[in-house]
Amino acid sequence: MASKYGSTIKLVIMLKRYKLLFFFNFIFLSSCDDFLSGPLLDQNPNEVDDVSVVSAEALLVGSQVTIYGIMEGYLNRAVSMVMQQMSGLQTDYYRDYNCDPIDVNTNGRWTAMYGTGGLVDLNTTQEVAESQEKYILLGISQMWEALLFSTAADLWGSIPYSQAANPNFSVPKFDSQEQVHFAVLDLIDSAILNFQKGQIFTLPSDYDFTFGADVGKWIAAAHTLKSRIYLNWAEVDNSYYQLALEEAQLGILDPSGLGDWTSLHGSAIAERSIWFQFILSNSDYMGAGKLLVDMLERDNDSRLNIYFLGNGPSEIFGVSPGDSVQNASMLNITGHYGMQWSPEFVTWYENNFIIAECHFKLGNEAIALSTLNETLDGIEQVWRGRGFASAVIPRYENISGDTLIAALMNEKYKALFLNIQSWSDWRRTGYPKFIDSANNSTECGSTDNGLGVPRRLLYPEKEKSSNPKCPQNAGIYDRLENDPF
Amino acid sequence: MKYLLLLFNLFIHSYLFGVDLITVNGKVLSESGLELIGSNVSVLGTSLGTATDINGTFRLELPNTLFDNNTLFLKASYIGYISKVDTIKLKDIIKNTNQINFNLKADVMRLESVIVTGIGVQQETRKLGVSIETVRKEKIENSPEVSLVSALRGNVSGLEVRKTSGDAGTNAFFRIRGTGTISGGSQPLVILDGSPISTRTIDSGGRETSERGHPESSSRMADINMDDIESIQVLKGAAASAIYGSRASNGVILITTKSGTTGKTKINYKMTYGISGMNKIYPLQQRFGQGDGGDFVGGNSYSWGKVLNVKDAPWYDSNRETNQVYNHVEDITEIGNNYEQSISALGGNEKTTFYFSMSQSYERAHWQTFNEYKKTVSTIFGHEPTRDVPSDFLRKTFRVKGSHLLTDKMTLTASMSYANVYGNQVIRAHSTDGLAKGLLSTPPDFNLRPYLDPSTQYHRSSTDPYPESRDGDHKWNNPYWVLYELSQTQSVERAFGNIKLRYNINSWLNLNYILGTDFSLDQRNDIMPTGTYRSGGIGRYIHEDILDQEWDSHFTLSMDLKKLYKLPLKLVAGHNLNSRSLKRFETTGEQQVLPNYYQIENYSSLSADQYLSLVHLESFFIQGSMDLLDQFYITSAIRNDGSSTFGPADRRHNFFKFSSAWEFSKSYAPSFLSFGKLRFAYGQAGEEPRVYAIFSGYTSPSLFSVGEKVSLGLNYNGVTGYRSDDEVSNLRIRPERRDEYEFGTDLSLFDGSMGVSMTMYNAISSDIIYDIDVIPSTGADEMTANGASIQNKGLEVTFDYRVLDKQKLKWESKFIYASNKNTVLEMNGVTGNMAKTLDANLIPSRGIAKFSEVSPGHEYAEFKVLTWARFGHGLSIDHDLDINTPNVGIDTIPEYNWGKNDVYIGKNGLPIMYSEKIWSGYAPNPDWTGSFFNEVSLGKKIKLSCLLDISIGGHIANYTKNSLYEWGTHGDTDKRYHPDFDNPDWFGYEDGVSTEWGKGTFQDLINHGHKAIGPGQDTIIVYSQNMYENFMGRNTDVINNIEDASYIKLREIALSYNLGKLKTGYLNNPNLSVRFSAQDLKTWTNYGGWDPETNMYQDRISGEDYFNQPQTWRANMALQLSW
Repeated sequence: MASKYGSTIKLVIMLKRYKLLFFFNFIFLSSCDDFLSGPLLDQNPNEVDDVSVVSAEALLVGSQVTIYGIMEGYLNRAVSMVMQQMSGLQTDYYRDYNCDPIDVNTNGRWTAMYGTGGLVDLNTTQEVAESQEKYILLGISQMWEALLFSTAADLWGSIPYSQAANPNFSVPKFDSQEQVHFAVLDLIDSAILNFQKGQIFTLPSDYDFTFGADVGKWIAAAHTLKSRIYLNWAEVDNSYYQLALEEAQLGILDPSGLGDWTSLHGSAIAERSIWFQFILSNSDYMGAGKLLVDMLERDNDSRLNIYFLGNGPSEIFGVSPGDSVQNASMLNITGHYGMQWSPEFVTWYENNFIIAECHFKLGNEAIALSTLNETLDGIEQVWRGRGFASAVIPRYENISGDTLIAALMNEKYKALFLNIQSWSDWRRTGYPKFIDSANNSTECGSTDNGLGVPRRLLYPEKEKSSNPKCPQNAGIYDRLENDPF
Repeated sequence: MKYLLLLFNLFIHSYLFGVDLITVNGKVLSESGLELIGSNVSVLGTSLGTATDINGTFRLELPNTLFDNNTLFLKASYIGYISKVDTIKLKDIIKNTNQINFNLKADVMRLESVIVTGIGVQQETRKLGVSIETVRKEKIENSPEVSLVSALRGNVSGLEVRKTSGDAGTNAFFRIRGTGTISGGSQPLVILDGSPISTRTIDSGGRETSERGHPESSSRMADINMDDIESIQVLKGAAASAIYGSRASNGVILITTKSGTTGKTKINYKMTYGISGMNKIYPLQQRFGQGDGGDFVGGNSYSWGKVLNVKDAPWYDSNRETNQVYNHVEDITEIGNNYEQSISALGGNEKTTFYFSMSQSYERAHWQTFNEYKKTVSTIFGHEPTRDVPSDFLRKTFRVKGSHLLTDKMTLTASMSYANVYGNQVIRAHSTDGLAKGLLSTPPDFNLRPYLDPSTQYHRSSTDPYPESRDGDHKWNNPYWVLYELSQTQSVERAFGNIKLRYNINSWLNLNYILGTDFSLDQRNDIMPTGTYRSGGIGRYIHEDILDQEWDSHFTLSMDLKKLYKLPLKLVAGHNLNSRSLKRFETTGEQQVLPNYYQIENYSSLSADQYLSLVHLESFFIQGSMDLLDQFYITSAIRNDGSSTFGPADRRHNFFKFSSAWEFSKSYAPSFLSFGKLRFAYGQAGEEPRVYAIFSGYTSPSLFSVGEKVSLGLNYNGVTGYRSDDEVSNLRIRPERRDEYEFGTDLSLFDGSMGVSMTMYNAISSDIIYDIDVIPSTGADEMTANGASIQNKGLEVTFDYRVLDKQKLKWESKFIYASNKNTVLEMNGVTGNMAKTLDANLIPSRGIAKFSEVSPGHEYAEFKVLTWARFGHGLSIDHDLDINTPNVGIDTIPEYNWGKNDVYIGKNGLPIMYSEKIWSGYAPNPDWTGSFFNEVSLGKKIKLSCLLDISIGGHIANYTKNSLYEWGTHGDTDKRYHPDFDNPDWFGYEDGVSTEWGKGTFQDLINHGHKAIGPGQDTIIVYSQNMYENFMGRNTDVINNIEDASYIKLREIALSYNLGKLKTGYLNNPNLSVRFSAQDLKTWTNYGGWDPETNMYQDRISGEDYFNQPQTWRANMALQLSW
């Protein structure tokens, strides 16, 4: 055989002879074009790749849960420490509480605001809802956007908004705090109009965790949120008190709590209250703030034992920044602040506090005082209705001027426990004063002339490092636009 | 062909006419006259052969028909010696001179051996142009480790292996020639008998990259019975591994398993028994009790309480009651054990060969069992724990391999391994549920036993000493609770193997086809009973099923053109299809209803999660090897890979390699040089992107994190929600690439008794894939993209020396050295030089572990950490904490003569915390690794060996220390101030003794030789609780606790004794050998934690210690019977 054929011919003959074997592999070779594509290859089976398959209602669910994470998570904890309702005892929380925060800690919630579940998905929800003429759904989505970005502007001042989450802008600019807040006011107006339009197809109420698609409650909450925004600009221009009052009078007027804009939490693993989970899993990171503990104790306010864990006032301890002892009482997660606690974002009592403050600023102190006491009546009833039958909170008589505004703002501070708005209230009014029951300053660095109280959050490290338009050196003591004095 | 005819003739003759058997006796000796026991002696051209006995003698009975023209060729070979062929004349034998002695020349370089170089191609070692290292099977067989990776420690230059801990079935971090990837794993591709196998380590909770806070999971590398391995080749550089294309940038490990041989069936039985124990007791203080502020506070987390009256304290008063203290670490440990039994049989005839093995390996870690615990308490009230043994591992394997000559040209080989692996792990690393957390943080005066409250039987810990509810109010778990009540089990059923068809079409062309598969079902149960710290003690149960499957079809056609055209060229062309899928189903139950009952129905809150993935790879390759003038050897290859993970716009990629070698000793060879070769190689290898990086859609996670151990899910309020993916799709994603040059030389000196091999390499990994930060306000978070490059360059040296080769004493020595220098060259367009001029915020950086980050201009994984204000970083600080004082750039203060990382000390004598993380200048990568191996043979029967494993340079972040400083349990906090020391009424008061205890300057607390510089540098401070908490604790400086991770370990010392053939008349007189060995008996290191080798991130990255698990020493005895 070796000499019968030339080498090349030999190869050809051999190929023919053994064609069966080569066919064996050609089965694979011929399938090559298809081998890199097909089911589980052309699509991520763990995701839905088409927005038309994912309904706008399902996206709204994603956004609501995401925004719970933003409004009740680290940002909420950071504000509670600035306002000394809670104290930071360990790790980065100790640093936060001692006015030495780290910018990386705001990365996560900032990213959530703009990204998945945040503005990107809110925009998609609104586009789809509008095209499908689901105006109530559209309005609800707009309201969540309004709450989220008005709060963000309260925390940071200028933030990306008009160009954010917009594919036409690869480097979003930072809008001023005023631009953001007034754009949000327009958005709320648009939401109110959409609520008023209604929609032909019924919005399944389960998808709206707040009011079960009750348009009336949404419109009232929209006015209260507008009122809050106007109020937060009143330090710049006193005329906003009048606008805030007018909006509040259209706002949430139901003292039962059923008209309050709250989150929704339950006992299921996926639905547990964020504060509850945090305290459980990060025991000793945070405890009670001495400022709030002293204030509640001073006023014989029953909420001391509702807010914090301990048997009676003698067992409730708070910590101030700089304290060497870190033995603070825990948030009462075995009581009201358990796994089902749904923090309140915009409420009847806030609406009433706004009315009272506006009346005070507009010169109607008597109405302000009566509104204050009416609000405290309502709050007391709510706590009693929640199972704290003997709950007692203070009332005020015959007070006026500074005493009245101090009482009003201190009561609002106590009532807005773990509510981010309390920071704006302090910036605007200077209440509560950061002085404990022994008349010592509780400001950071109080032993060394005092560093003060932070007035804003640090921009997150991620935005600073990637967006050249992000202010690089904004510090925590810098004043915001609506906080000039 | 003629040999087959010869065999045929032999068969016919013996059948028809009868055959005379000729006996050939002889000896195989070294040149120095040493009998070489176990040498192979075979008849060339046949499969007949035998091995020499303990006297180096052999005996062959050969049919006279084998003699062709009255002549026969006999070959003797022995590892480490040059084989020799001798001619035997029939007439000489007839004259009774049938004593054939072979004298073999030394060859410590094993130049003569033939090794697999990839895609089934074999090549003589002497002709290699690339760096491929072979591990002898004895190294693997003798290792008591259950994981193949751990067994390789100290055996291959440039292969860095760090075993995670001393727990049972533990896995290891390993990498070859440094890390050149960010998000990809650093683990090499492993090919077993021509088919890739899974080496995944899938962490509980589904993460493939294991993270802290989870029980350790065994690696799939632990499923291989090491007695099945014939040899291991490590393809270290891209030039060697390029033929595996887009999966090979981390190097390739080729495993060849044992096969049957013709002739007498050989049976081998091995039994090993060993013990193990913790190699270090952690330094904890024993002089101060539980409490806060100097006083006892029951249930408190801190050990900043009262001064204890204990015997070794300077204030000890024998007239007062001595306080009871406990050494928690010593108390909770005992001697662990391990055993292994394996049996294998191999044999065959001219047509069919077989190999069969079974094995069973068991390891029990050094943690106290419940049975032993029972003896330490008065009663357990009949309690049944969740598990009796806290950490053990059981592997059963079965392997069969057979080969059959279908025709005279076609061979079919099939093999299949089955492994059944059961792992029972302990939660490790930093986790409040972890073992070490409670073990090291519990105050010394708290008795951890019993761990169940005697009156309630509820979980009892130092943070909840009198539990009033089952849920408890713990800050961490009692470590005994972790051992006996928590349970993390892993049960793996795995089968892998392949079918090979080899067709020798003619003398110059052959065809190979391999179809391989690897399938595993990995089932996990992660039980935390009610009362466990996590989630407030409500109880949790996670069950996971993980199905992992790989199919691989590999076709090659090999042509030897020398036989066809007389052209010295060999060509291999081939085609490869590969399919990998992963399916994971996870069910989580929370809120346990009935205690001590662990069924998913017994949990009131359930959630489920599912994950699927599939990757297809399709490749073509061609390789040519040419020999020129019998001294120049050139190999070149190209592979084209298409993968479903690459972007559709850029779907196919080429990987090229070239290598050349010049055996210069054929042209020039001084007398001392018996072989000399220069080699140069260049190659490209790749790493695939993660699966589905090219897609971005909408997801409905059952749970997603919103930070700090808080999760929410989208199955909410009875409806299902969706969110967009937070990763932007990248349709242009392409593989990472490693371009590598290497130069080297291999020298054999002094008649082959000394060998030196040196390789210098320079590898640039580019197009490195990582999750690039997108400006968050654009609405995207991250995008998986190609955008970084990393350089690894280094030098590898192997030095083999047969020091003595005498009849009664033989001494072989081997030293290996491998240095690696790593630099991140560029990320997202920013180079190291550009980074020097940019604002710190604008320099790309990627965190890859708690402290390790990657950023241009830095070493891979350099620690970026919180710090005190230190010099040399351009830091400006508010030096007197006054808001009205401007910040001061401390580096510019003229009166200070500082060095980098010296610490600024404020006027109060204390450092000042800086508000941002800084680059520490320390990284976990060692400067060099190596080993020193010596083996001494005393006579014919006794062999002594010793292996030192060396890792020099590199650091480890001992963050455990930060934490223990804060809790007040670390041994260093023994030197602390307590108010009693200044109280003359206190029983231990002694002016000048107790009054000076726990005081000094801050300088005394600073490590690394850094100086304390500043206005308060000489101020005497008290080392109080406040100082430790606020200046030494978790949210303070980490650099001070970054420690040198260098070590030299006595990795193994062993004595083996070959008793020879037992002539007892039992069991058919087997050959018996015994081996005594001890591993890791001694570690020389300056590291203050458990062990510098301990690793938090298991297989992903080394260098961080945050409540890691300890390492162990081991001692083993192995007994081997062979027939």
